[in-house]
Amino acid sequence: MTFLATIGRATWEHARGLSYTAAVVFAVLTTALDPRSWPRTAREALSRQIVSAGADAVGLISFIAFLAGILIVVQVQLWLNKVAQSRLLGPVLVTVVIRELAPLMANLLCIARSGQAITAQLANMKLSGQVRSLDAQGLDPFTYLVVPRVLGVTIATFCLTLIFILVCLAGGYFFARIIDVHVGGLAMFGFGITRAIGRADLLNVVTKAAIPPLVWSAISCVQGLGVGEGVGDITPVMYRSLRHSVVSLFVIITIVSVLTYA
Amino acid sequence: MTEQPRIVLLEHATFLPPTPCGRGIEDVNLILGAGDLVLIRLEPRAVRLPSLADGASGLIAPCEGRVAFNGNSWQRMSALQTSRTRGQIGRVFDDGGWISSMDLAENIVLARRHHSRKPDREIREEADELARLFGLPGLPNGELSQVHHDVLLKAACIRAFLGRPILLLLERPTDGAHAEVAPGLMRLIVIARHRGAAILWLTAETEVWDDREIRPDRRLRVSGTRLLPDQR
Repeated sequence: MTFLATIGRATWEHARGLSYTAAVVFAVLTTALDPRSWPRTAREALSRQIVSAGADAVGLISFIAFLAGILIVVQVQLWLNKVAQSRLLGPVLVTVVIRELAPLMANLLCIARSGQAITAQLANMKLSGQVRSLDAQGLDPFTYLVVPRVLGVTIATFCLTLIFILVCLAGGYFFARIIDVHVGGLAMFGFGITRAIGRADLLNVVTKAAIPPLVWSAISCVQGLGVGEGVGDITPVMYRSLRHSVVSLFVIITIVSVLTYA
Repeated sequence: MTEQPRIVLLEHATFLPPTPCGRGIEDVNLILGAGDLVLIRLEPRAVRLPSLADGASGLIAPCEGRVAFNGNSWQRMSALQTSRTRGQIGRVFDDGGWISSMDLAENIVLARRHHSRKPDREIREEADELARLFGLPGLPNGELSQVHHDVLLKAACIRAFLGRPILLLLERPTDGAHAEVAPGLMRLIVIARHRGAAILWLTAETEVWDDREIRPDRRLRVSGTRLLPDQR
């Protein structure tokens, strides 16, 4: 009975956490649609978030994408040449990079970079009374702190996913040329990829680049603002935020892939 | 009892202790009308009491009784109404209430910029004028950690009075620097009362309590778990 109760309690806790996160995401989207929620201070917070989560991360994401491109394009082309199927380069790249790798890597890098920063910042603000101070001055913490962060991170992750795809493919192509792997001309390479992209792929990449960041950034905010009473609570909250964010990312990405292609 | 329109009403309000080892405040009855100045003597910071300023601005809900602002109970307001209503309250925070990611000037004008559509230039000009009443050359600025305590206190007053709020909640506004801050603050209080703002001044400083320049309508003191009229 105790064992069953433990499982039941854990399941119940997870279900509650899930529904709470879903409610926060829903509230963010509905609040964002209300023009009254966007005074200049909130608009500035949104643009700051886009810059810090997006523009400031372009260099890192490009570097990672370039290296990933070298690994994938070179490997794919080598193996396809061995089985004399080099015409499949486009479809394979679309499958590997566009459908799966780019959204996954962009989300993971943004979780590590921005999600953790959001959790730490909000937890510090909560503990030092800054959230209360904002609330007392009539700056609703949800409107001023949560909504711009969630939307800013989502926009940034979406854009970084596209950048990842471009840099990954371009980097792989040029490196393949350098080491003399046969990849054909640039136009042919590009044409092979664009021809292999279907509607389902577009829907897939857009969904994976937009929905997971909405969820994990909401998790980051909820965890940060839900910090306990002491500074010692910040580290556990950051671990929890990271764990929940990564799990939610993989769950969403898997569900989207299954729904799109199964 | 004031005959002015009521701005804040606390009716039999009881607030729970902020920490398990703190103390609550019971059965608070307080009315602040337009132009009222009420001075409340607090106990030293070591005694953890619920903040009356938090209670008056609806940040903490009473476990009994009710708190209303301009006739509307805080508990019945929507989130948007609550935020907008708090935009009409100026406050000096006991703990400073500064946002660490912003510099001092940004902190001072933040709430005003949030609640109004006035151009930034006009808001800064208004802040400049208030700053000059404190003997400052203009809107103070700098990294929060680099700014002198006196200037921070003056900046907190400027932030509170910016935008002509109708209620001012001043928590220890002259904390340890009465001589430097009080003259400017008194000028602002006179102007604010004249235009109909209600002011709740909370202090633990004897200098404030004994200052004959401060002429409150009522003097109250926190004694144990009660808010009582001062007998003198």
